[in-house]
Amino acid sequence: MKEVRKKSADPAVNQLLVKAFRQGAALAWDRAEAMQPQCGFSRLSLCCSDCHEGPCRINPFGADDQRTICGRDRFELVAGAFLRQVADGAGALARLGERFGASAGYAGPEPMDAMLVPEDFAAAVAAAGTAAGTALAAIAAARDAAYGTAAPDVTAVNLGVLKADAVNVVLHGHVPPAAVKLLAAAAAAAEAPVNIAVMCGSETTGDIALPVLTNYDSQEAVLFTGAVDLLVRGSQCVMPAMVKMAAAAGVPVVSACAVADAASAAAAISQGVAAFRQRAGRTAPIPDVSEPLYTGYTAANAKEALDALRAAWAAGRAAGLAYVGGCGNLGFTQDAAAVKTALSLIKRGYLVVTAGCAGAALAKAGLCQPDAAGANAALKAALPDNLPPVLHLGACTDAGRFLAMAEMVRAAGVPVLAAFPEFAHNKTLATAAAFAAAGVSVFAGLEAVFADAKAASALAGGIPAGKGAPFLPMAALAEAVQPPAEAAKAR
Amino acid sequence: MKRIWVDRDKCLGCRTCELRCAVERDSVSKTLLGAVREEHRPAARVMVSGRTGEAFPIQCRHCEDAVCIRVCPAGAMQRNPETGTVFVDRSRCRGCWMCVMACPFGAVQPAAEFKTALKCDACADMEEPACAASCPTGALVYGDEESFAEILAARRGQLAIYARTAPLPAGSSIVSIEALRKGDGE
Repeated sequence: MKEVRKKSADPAVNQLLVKAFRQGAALAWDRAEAMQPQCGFSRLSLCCSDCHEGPCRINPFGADDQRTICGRDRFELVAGAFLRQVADGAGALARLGERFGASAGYAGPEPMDAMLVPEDFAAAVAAAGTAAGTALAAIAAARDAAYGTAAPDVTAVNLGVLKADAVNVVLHGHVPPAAVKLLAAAAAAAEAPVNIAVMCGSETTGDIALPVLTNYDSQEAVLFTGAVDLLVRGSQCVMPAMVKMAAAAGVPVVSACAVADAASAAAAISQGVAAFRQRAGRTAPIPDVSEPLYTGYTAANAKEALDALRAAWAAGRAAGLAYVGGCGNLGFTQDAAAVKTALSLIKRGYLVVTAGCAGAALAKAGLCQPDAAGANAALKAALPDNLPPVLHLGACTDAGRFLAMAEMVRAAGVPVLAAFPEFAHNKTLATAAAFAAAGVSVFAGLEAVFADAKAASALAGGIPAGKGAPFLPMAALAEAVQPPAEAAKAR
Repeated sequence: MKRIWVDRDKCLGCRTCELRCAVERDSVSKTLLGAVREEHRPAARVMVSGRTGEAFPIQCRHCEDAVCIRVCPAGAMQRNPETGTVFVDRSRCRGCWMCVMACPFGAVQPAAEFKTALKCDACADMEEPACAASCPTGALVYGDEESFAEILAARRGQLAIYARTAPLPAGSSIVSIEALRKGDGE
């Protein structure tokens, strides 16, 4: 019953895992191991504690007519839990959108208002997805309006971007763009060289392309470089362990909400400078691992590439446009699923677009640079020069740009799909629902909702039924993608 | 003999043992997500009984004087002479359900689909029974008498600590260790 698997595919993270182990520090992987076995009822969404009559549970191997105290059956439990997750994610996206001045409040459905699960499950998922899509589109529009749609930026990714001889300020989680601007200005005025790096949600925030450190599952590893001098804590994707661990390591932590004006930003940076002076005597064994990262693609600055993709598709040399998103999951080797999915899509002739933590995984694997190993030669020849095989949009909140790109190529009939191999946060799930509601076929690495036959078939029938695109399990991706030559023949 | 021991106070009634047992012993895929989609519903050989807050898992106790072996007319219910566990030879079982009726714990189930009795064999061919391996609180423990005696001793140790620090009810004739040390117990 014992399984052995690698914790991470990232060489930099693996170096630091050894260091953490020697120090006796427990990381997310260790906590995940201590959490085994995880509850099977919860994994299948078959338990419910919505009300105070509960908790209730339904035995998946028991009789079909089992009901909770209020009378929900198995499908209603699974569907209700899924709807709640999608709506939670849509709300999270709407809250982040407000920071970009994107929209006023969350206009999505509140599926838990009624105890009854909506009769049309797919339509309810689509409604929540559409709300998420509106937030994403608004974020994309606000970003383009504020910073223009200049050519993509070149920066770097992975822990090698930390500098031993500079004040390393880490923007962690979703830090508001206004705070990033203030911190960057304060950093420029600081008395020591300041290096700002980001992870878990602040990628390419604003008009500055900041180097990306790592992604969600390995966030704690960053502290084991010993080179972090200031941690700016944003919202949503910061593990509570991170804040505690930073405090234990003597790394100052500043909440991004506290950075409201130039004075508070300067105060935060000066805390970092003080910490930098303190560690000056100590050597920081920063893993010497980094990859170039071409980031900040938008529908506007990738227009030439998309036009070329359309032509290549018509000529049978490209298969379509694919998005690889998601967060990560400690049950599996970090980054492995996203990279494997992206490579197989590239091999089959898809131009891959990515963002967020899956984007960081692909960038760490060196796929977000023009001369990436593993590029599809035929596709590369058909697309403009200097284009990476994977277009990196930015943070996961920039996924709205993919919808605009999809719109541009879909009119010509080019197949568009999205794969989310692993989830951690609900806003990625809401993004997936938004894509399906906007007509992009989604392949999702989910368990509970696909384990229930009725829920799975409702989602496979399209979100909403008949109009939207299907929402399918990851396992269906292999069948859905066809090499371009065969697809052209079939046409 | 190695047994599945139950530390009743630790059982929270989550039924993880039931799921794991059904998946491990009665499914083709051996995974939870695969098992829920199989045509034949995997059956668990362990059942969590009792009320909320007083739950406990029950499976075959492999009785020294097993009544199920005595009542079986077909000779299907047998004891493994090596491990001492009681098991059903499904090829001999006629489905008369005598064992089902005789078991004082209700630990033998009639598997009507296969017309054979179904019961725990302490996962005879595995390193550790699935239920004990999966128990998140350690309420199910696999080991010999000695290892369970250790668990009991540990619990008694905790009781001793409790007795040492707990205030004594007025008029009690029991003297706490703390009081003895201070010398007011004389």
